[in-house]
Amino acid sequence: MTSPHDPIREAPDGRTGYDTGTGRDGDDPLGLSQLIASGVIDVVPGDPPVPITVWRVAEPGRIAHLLVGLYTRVGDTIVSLGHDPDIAGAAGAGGCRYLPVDAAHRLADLDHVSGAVRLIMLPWPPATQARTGAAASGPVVSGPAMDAEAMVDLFTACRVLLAADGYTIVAVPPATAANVAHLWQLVPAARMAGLGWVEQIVAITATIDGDQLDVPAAPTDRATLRLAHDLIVHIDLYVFVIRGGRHG
Amino acid sequence: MADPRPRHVAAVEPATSGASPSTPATVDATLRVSVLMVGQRSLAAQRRGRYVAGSGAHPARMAPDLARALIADYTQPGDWVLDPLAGIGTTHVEAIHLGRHAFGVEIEAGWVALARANIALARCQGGTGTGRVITADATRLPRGIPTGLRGRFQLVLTSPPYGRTMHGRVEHRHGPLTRFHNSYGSPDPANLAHRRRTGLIDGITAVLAGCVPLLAPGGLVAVVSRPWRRDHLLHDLPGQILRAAVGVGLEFVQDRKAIHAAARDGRLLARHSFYQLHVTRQTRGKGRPALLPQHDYVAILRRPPDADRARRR
Repeated sequence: MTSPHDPIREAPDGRTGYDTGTGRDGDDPLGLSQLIASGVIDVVPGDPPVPITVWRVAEPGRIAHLLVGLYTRVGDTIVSLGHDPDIAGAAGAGGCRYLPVDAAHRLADLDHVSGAVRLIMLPWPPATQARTGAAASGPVVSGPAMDAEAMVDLFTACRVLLAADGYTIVAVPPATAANVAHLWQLVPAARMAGLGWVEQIVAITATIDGDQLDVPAAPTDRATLRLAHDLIVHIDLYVFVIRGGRHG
Repeated sequence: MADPRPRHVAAVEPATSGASPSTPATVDATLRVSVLMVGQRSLAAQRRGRYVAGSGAHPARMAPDLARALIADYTQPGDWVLDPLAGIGTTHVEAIHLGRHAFGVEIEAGWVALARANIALARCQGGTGTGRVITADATRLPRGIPTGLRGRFQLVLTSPPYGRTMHGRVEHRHGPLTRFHNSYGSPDPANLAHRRRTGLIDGITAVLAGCVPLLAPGGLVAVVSRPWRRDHLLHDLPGQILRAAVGVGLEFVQDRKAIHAAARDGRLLARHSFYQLHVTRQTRGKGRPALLPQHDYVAILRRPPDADRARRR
């Protein structure tokens, strides 16, 4: 089984890659066969096998492993708004270059990779200054929310960085009454920036134990009521591409 | 009547007066586990024996186990449930089997006849609830709803049409791919199923606005939907519905996902139509890393307890 922390090796072109017998090479640019072989993704078997929109991600680092495995190739560049150690680890294991930025306006500093980034990871809802919302590895503390115009600017910066066949993936925790407006602003803001929504993935963070979702039984004692946070067992991943690009 | 609660539901007991100081202030008794696993049985198994012949002709039926899970989550036996876009009466059938009372509105007389037959079947099979469906235009609600039921519904449960391109089934029938069961009946423009995107959202907004005064104070709305795909791109119907719902005065409660894949031995087994798989394979064949859809969006909203007072002001 391959995990993001498996040993890495030098790829033939000098870039790093998986040290496995079924490396992510030109025959399998999306890394799907490796994910299937390691049992971390569920597919409909056949020719070709088709992965489903619901992912099991209870294991730490699983989301990052799947995203890097499905949406990048060896040698690609991955940008993350906010440092995400899971993405960093998966990028390293997958032979990708990882470039985190600590604030939305710092994306403009990456002009040396304009038009060449394969994958951009964004937390949601974004903040005006520091990283906020949810990273692929889980929710983080919120900061001041970004307004709709700034969201368009953020996606525009992403579009400038993306390669023609690149992806911007937004990690969205279940909305609350306080931030629900961000949920319906997300897709329109991306569209105004020239990005198109092509996929949504539901990443289930609870363990699937046998034939059941492993959610602790409800307490009946009022004094032990669980926090609302405990009821959240999924995170949504919105996948965007350049409209009119190779995948849009 | 016994109300077996499925295991995906981690119910939080409603807080009563005199809450313990240790009760977390952030708990909302309406909140449930964010994921509903509703694909443990195939759709055929969910429907077998509970729906009359001909029900399969409806282009976009809600999965019975999804309707059942939402009714069990948000109502008690004896409560009233409203489905303003009732179709063949899936909400009614599952409500009756759970001992709830269901009222429905459906614009197409043909579906109304099927819904009534399904209601009768559910009653014959021992369902202790009751069901009624009227032929009416849900965009004109609360018109048509008996006065005695106004303000009594604990739950509005519905699934609007997802757009014309997503209706019906496609199968191999004697050779090439054939699309069938993709028609809602008469091409009445009042029927949301025949509207284009903008008209559909306007119609859903009108339906939701009409439901608000029908809900009991604090009553809930559960809307099941999914995005609309056109030219490879998804259109955010769930987001637009959410915006419309908040716009007509409903409070957002929770964003849930209904998973149609089955949990099996620690993995997920896809439930899919032939057509879904065919289209996804075709897309992947073009180099796009498409995934097979296995979930629906479920938006939970609430009528504010003081909605009437706010309306009068």
